[in-house]
Amino acid sequence: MTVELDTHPPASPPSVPAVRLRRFRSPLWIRGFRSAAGTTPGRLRALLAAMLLAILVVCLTGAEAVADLRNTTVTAADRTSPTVIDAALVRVLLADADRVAVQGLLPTAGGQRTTNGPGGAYQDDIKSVEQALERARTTGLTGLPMVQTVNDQMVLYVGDVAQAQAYAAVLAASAGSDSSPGSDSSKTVDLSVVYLSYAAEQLRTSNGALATVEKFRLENRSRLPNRGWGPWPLLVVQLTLGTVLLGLVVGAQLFLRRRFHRRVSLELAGIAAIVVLICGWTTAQSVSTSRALDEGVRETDRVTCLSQARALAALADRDYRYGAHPTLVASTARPPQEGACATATPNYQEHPTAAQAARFLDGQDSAEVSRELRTFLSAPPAANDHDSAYLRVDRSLRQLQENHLPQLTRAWDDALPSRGLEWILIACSVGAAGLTLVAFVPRLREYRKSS
Amino acid sequence: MTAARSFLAGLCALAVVLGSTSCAGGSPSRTVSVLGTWVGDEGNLFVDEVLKPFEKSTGIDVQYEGTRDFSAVLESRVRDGDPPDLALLASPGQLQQYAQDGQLVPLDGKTSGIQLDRIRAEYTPAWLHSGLATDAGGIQRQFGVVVRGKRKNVIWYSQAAWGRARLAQPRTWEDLVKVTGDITSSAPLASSGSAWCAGLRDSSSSGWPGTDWIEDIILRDAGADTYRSWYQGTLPWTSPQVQNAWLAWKRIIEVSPAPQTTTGMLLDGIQYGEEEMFHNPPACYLRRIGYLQTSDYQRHAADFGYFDLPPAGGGPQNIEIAGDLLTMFRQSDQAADLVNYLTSVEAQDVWVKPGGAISPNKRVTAYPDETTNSLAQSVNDANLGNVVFDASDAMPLTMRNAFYQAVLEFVAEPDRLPAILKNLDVVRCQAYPEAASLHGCP
Repeated sequence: MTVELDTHPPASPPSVPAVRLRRFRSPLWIRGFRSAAGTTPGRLRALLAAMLLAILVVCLTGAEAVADLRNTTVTAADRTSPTVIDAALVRVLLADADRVAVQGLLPTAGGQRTTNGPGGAYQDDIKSVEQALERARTTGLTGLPMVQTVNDQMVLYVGDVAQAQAYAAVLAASAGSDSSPGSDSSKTVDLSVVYLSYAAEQLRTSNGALATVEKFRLENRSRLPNRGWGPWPLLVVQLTLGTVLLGLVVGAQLFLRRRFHRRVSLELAGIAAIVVLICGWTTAQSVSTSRALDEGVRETDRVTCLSQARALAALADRDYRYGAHPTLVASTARPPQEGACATATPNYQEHPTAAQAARFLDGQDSAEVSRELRTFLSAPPAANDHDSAYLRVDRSLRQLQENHLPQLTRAWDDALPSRGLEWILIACSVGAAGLTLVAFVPRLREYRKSS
Repeated sequence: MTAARSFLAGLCALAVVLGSTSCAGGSPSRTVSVLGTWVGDEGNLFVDEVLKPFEKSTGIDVQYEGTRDFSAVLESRVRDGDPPDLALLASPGQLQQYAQDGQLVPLDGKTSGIQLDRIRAEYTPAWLHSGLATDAGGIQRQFGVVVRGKRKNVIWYSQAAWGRARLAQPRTWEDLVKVTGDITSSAPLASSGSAWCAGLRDSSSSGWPGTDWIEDIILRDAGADTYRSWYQGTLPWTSPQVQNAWLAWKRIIEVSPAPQTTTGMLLDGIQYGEEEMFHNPPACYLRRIGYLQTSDYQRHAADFGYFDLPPAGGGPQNIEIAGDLLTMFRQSDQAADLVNYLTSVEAQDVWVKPGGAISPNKRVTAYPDETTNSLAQSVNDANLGNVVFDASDAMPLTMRNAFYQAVLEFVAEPDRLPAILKNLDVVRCQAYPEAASLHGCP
C-alpha cells in the first residue's frame, strides 16, 4: 500500500487589508484545534471523534426510545389499563349491589317480604368491590385518595343496607300481626325503604361513590398514552444523527481514497450497514408499538364503556323496582353529574334519553345488544319479564366484554418491544465503534511511525 | 491533546452547573396538614380567604382536606398512625375520646407554643369551656379551641314570606303549635307548601336535625342542669323530662297529615329549605337548623329572620351552641402558629364577614349584619351556666348514633315512642358505664 504523507502546513492567511481592523482572537484551544485539524492526522482524528460521538448518540437515543416504548407499554398494560377497567367494574358492582339490595329488601307488589335479605349475590358484589378497589389502590397512578373515599362511602352504604335489612326483617316477622299496639300502619313509614334511599345516596349523589370512582377512572384514563404516541422526538434526533453519521462515513471513505488510495473500506461499509439497521429497527419498533398502544387504549375504552352500559342497566333496573314501591313518591337519589364514558360516549348520563341511549353503543360491536339496552332503558319491562329482561341485557353486555378481553391482552403483547432490543442496539453500537477504530487507528499509527 | 482536555473541562463545568441547578430549591418546606368537615363554599372560604394571609406572611404551607365523612376518615388515619397535624372536631364527645386515648396534644402545655393566655382573654368562657377534656390520668386540660361557632336553638324564617302570610311570631310552644296548625289548615298557605322545612337525611348521620328539636325542648322546658345531666348519661331517656320533649315534638309532627309529611321529612336532605323558604309562595315557612351555609346566608341575608322561644318556666334564656374544635394531633411550631392565627381577631374577622357563623372571640366585630351580631352577642352576654353545647355532639359516639336512629324511628312511627326510649336507655347503660350504673341501669 502506497502512503502519501501530507505534511503541508495550513493554508497561508489572507492578505492584510489596508485598514487593520481589530481582529477577534479565538481562544487558545480553538486555535490549537484548527491548526491540528488542518493536517491529515488531525483530520483523521476529527473524523474519528465525530463518528464515535455520532455512534454514541445514535445508540443512546435508540436505547432510550426502546426503553420509553417498553416503560409506556408496561405501565399501560400492567397499571393504567387495569386501574381504569377496575374502576369501571366497581361502578358495575356497586350498581348491581344496590339493585340486588332493593330487589331483596323491598316488599313485592303483593306486600310480601322475604326475611333472607339481599343474600349471597349482594355479599359477592360487595366483596368484589373491595377486591377491585384494593387492586386499583395498588395499580393506580393518580387519585389514590379517591379510592379511600370510595371505601369510606362503601362502609356507610353497607351500614345503611344493614339497617334496611334489620327493619325489613322486623317488618317481615311482624307481618300479619301488629306488633305495636295502638299504632296505625297507614300512618307509618317503612324504614327499610327509607334506609335503602339513604344507601342509594351514598352511591348516587354528585359526590357519592359512583361519581367519585368515575372521577378516579377518568384521572387514570388520562394517563394512558394519547393516540399516536411514540418516542418521536428521540427518533428525530436519532435519524438526524444517523444521517449525519452516514454522511461522515461517505466523507471518510472519500478522504481515505484520496489520501490513502483505499478504493473501498470494508469497515466503513460495515458501519453504514449497522447504522441503517439500528435506525431502521428502532423506527419500525416505534411505529409498531405506537399502533399496538392505540389498539390497547381503544380496547380499554371499549371494555370500560361496556361496564358503563352494565352499570346503567343495573341502576335502571334498581329504579324500576324502587319506584314501584307504593309508599314512595319518587326516588330522592339523584344521578351523578360525572358519569361520562369519556371518549366513546360523550353524551352518556345515568338516565339518558332514548336518543342518547341509541348513541351509547355506537361504534361498538353489536347492534342487537344496543337495541336490547335501549329498549330496557326506555321503559320498565313487563312485570312477568322483569327479572329475565335485566339478566338478558347484562349477559349480552358481559359477553361482549369477555370477547374484547383477548384483544386487549393481544394489543399489549404486540406493543411490547422485542426482548433485549436495547442490548442488541448497544452491541451493534459497540460493533460500529470497533469498526470505526479499525478503520482509523492503523492510519494514525502509520503517521506516528513515519514521524 | 489540548483540545480534548478543554472539551473535558467544558463537560465538567456543565455537569457542575447542572448538578448545582438540580440541587437548588431542595430546601424542606414547612407544612401543616389539617383535616376538617368543610367542603364546597365553606372549604373555599377557609382555604382562599382565611388561610391565604397566614400562608403568605409565614411561608407555611397549609394542606387542608375537607371530607363529609370526617369521623370515619380521622379514625382510620389515627388507627394507621398517620393522623393530621390538626383536626377540626365537631363533637366534644370525640374530643374526650381522643384525649382519653392519649392521641391529642394538650394546648395548655408549657412547650405547646399556643398563646393560651391571649386566647383566654379574648374568648367567651362558654366557648373556651367546650374545649376542655380529661386526659388518661383524669386531669382536665384544654385539648381543643373552638374556631368557628354556631348558635343553635333558634328558628329561621323568611321575613317577606312571613309578612305576606300575616303570621304572628310565636312566644310559647303553644304558639308554635298553633302557627304550625294555622299554616297547615289555611287553604292558601297549605296549597303552596308545608309549615316546616324539615329534612332529616344527611349522608352518614341522617336523623341529626331531629336531635336539635329534642335538645331545644329539654333545654327550654327542663333547664340547663337537667339538659347536662341528660347528655352526661345520668338522666334516663325514659324520665318524664325527656319523654315530654319527644311528645312535644310529636304535636308539631302530627299537625300535618301522615305519612306524606313524615316521608318527606325522612327523605328530604338537611338542605331542604335553603331556597324553598324564600320562594314566592314559599314551599315551607319555618326552619330549625343549627347552622346556615355561608353561601345560603349570603343569598338571603336581607330576608332572614329568627326567633327563639323563651324558657317555659321564665328566667334567663338558655343558649345552645355548637362549633368546630381545633385540636392538635402532632405537635410542631408551624401547627402552633396556625392555632394561634386561627383563634386571633384577624382570622376570625375574615371568617365571620361573609355570614353564616359566629366567632368564639368576643373582640370580633366584623359581622355582616345585625342578625349575626345579635346571635354572637347572645352567647357573649350569657352566663356560663346558661350556655350548653349541642347535647348529641357531647354524647359518646354510640349514644349519639342511637339518638340519630331513634329520631328516624320516631318520625316513621311516633306511637312506638315508649319502646324507642327504652331502647335508648339500654344503649345509655353501655355507653356511659360509670355514670349510668347509678341511674337505672342493671
